[in-house]
Amino acid sequence: MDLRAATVVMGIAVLLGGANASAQEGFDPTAVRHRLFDMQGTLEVEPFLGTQLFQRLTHDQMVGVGLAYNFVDSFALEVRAAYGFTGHTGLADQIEQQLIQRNPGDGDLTTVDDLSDLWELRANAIAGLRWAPVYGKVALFAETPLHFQTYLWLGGGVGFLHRQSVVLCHQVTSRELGSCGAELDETRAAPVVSVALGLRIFAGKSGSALLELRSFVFKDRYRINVDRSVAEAGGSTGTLTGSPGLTQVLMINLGYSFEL
Amino acid sequence: MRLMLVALLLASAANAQPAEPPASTVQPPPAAKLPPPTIPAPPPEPLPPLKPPSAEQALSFGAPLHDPNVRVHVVEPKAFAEQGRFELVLFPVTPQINGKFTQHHGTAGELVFHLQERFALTAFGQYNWYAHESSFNEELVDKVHEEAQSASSLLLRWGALGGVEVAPLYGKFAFYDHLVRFSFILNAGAGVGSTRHQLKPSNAAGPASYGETGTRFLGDLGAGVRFQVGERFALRLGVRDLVYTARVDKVNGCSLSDLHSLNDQRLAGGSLSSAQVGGGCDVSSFEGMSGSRDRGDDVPLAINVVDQPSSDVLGELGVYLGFSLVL
Repeated sequence: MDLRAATVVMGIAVLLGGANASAQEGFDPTAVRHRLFDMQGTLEVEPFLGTQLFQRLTHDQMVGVGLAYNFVDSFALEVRAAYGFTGHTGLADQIEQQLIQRNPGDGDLTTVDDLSDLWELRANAIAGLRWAPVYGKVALFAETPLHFQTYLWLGGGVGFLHRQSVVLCHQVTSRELGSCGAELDETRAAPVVSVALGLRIFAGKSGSALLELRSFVFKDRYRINVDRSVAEAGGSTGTLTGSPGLTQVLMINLGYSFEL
Repeated sequence: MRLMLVALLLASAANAQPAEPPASTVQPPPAAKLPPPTIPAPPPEPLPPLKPPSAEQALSFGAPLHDPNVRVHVVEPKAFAEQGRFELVLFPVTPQINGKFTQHHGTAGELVFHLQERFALTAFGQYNWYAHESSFNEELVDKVHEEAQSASSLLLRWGALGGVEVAPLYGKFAFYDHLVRFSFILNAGAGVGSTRHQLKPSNAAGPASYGETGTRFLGDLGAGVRFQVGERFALRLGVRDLVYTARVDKVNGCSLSDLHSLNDQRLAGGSLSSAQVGGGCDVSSFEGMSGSRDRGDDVPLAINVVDQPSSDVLGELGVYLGFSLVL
């Protein structure tokens, strides 16, 4: 059964399931208060995968693991570490290519500012507090119960960043093709603030699936007033901007929590 | 003699096998017409008496017994019927969250008719009171003199769509001691939207200027949750992607040749209205002043937009937080 057929079948099942939802009665207000899954006192190990949403100049695919301890039912402390497979998007490569094709020796864009939001989050180690005030359940196809929690996560840590400039080329290999053999590469460690909104779907007593939207925010840093002729001759040029702003990397993560 | 022996043998052989009746002969009666066999039913055995519920089970009102899942009622009856009712939804602010070359913020409304409990027909409208090129696109223009292709930076002014809404999942959650019921919603629709392209950004020379690029087919996909608040009100939170095809070959109804004619007339110092243009070209949109700026200055900018024809499929993904009144 291909994906389209499966989608149609699921859609029909959904519509048929909807026809059964006509009974109207009062409901038991204690139903969710008595929770089937109690998190208090549990220790969790959470491997996860993530990908960057809304990519402009950089892309990031992340793999990592978290360790969380639920000291009460709705609060947990968590430490996480992740490694990112990062790089430039096609748009960044295109911008670099078209800029190199403009010869500064001809007076074309001799001095430029580097672009913002080019730092790639190569790795990070963060710790934070997870607050899960919402516990609920849904009826899947009017039969299967799904128990879930939603949570907010706030914390911070350190990010290991990498940046490759798109305007500062130390060695032009082909002006016509717009290719560069040695862009300015930088790495640094910087404080990172992380906020996440997540959904936990309980799969049983010993595990649950996690889906979360996570934002990493850190201070940007880039050069302005870059003399391209000096840069292409291998010299150092440009000054760091005084107001670089903040860079946000928004990830969507999918993981699984093993309760120990 | 031999013939008689052969005939006798054939005749005896024919008598030895039962003759098959021809097809038109009588067939056995259908089994359904036979009276069913009567089997005497065993006498009913008395059921054992039910155990009284434990204190733990007694906490779970109305749930199946002897099942650890009693604490979570699998299917929760909906408290309020929606079938046959209208719902009026207002989304006061709908910020776009995936803006790359453009940025939109608008206000939207929706009329929902619940054909069934989980299936509804919708009429949706949105007006983007903020539709500009993004700061990222402006950064590219300022720093490296690059910008997005015309089709990739098309702006959506308004859209009107008809569609359907399905609520495949419903449930409830507890926020500490407060119980909230909700539905998970999927929606899809189709309609039309009005587009335009920014010709000049807002700067010291004057406000931003725009050129109309026509009405486009608009599609819509979305997902979200609907929180029931009493019988008459609901809150909705979701994301919705307004998808539209973009091809820019005219600005204000003027083709590239029309724009060149207007530009020639402008450079010659003549009136734009005397230029030879097609019937659909709105010359008046390039005439007069916008503040202290001559609108005729938009003509070469419009030429840049259509000079290199481009096409794209754009998606305006927005967050929709609104409230609704169930009628």
